[in-house]
Amino acid sequence: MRGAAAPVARWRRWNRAVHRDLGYLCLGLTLVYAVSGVALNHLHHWNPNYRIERRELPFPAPNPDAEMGEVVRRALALVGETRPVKSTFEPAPGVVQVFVEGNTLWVDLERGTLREERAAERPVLYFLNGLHLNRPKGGWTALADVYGVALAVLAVTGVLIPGGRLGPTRRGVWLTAAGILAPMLCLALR
Amino acid sequence: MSPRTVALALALLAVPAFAATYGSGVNLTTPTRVSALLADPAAHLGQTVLVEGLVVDVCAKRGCWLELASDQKHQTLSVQVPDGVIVFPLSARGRVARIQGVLAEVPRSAAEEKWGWQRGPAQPPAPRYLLRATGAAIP
Repeated sequence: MRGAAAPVARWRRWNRAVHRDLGYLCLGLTLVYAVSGVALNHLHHWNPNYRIERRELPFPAPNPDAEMGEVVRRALALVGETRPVKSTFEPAPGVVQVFVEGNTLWVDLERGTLREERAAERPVLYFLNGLHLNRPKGGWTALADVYGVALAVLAVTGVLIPGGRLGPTRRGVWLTAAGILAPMLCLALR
Repeated sequence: MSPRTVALALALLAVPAFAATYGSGVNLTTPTRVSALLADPAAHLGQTVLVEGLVVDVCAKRGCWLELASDQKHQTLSVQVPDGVIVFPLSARGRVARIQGVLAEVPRSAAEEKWGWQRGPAQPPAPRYLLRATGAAIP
């Protein structure tokens, strides 16, 4: 009896050790993917990458002979923008777009309005979302692949840790089935 | 030559040297003018082309589309990418980009069809063309 139990005990020790150490290794990446996953899951509710502030102001009609440069100068002064202009564009007659790093102005000369859109990256989330979407490519792709395999190993070794009444063949079978059923249902209802 | 023209020429020269690449990058060397694409889109449908121009708008949420200014006044070309394959940054606005992709004709949405119909039933709405980008270089 003791002879048969020894390999099982040894196997269980290894399984627990693999699960424990992979868990430590994967903690950081799991948090990265978890936080950015929730953030990206709600793209229809908010913008997880940028904090955007929009406002519309009246833009007094300039002199009909005013040149583009004058319109741009007045628009920048109206919103208190002092950074250098990257470029300008006329999407339609009487409409001027002014691009500044992190700020875009739309001047509608006919309607007499100025729309401003200031965008700033959310410092942590922009970075985490970039990792989630594999923006760095290259080495990050390889690391993310290894992480994916490690997650699968974590899941399997985790299920095999408990035994008896709480083991994978008793209580575990129902919870595992419920977890598998959710994506299967989505597939069926697609 | 005006200072703006000189600045634009320098920006265009600097694009290949210092640009960040997106997707599979850009390997064509001769750009097609946006105005030429839109003047005769049927001749370019399904072809891989390189276009170059000022980025005048970018999808703020997913970075999945941008509008590229044409060399012709008041004209732009829509550029789209599959979600997540390329994510254009908002900072691309106001920069000169080189974008490679395939010109495609897309069906107008039901709302656009209705709008077109209300404007004049005798004239069916014009088809809409966009560039499905495979790669880009943006400084």
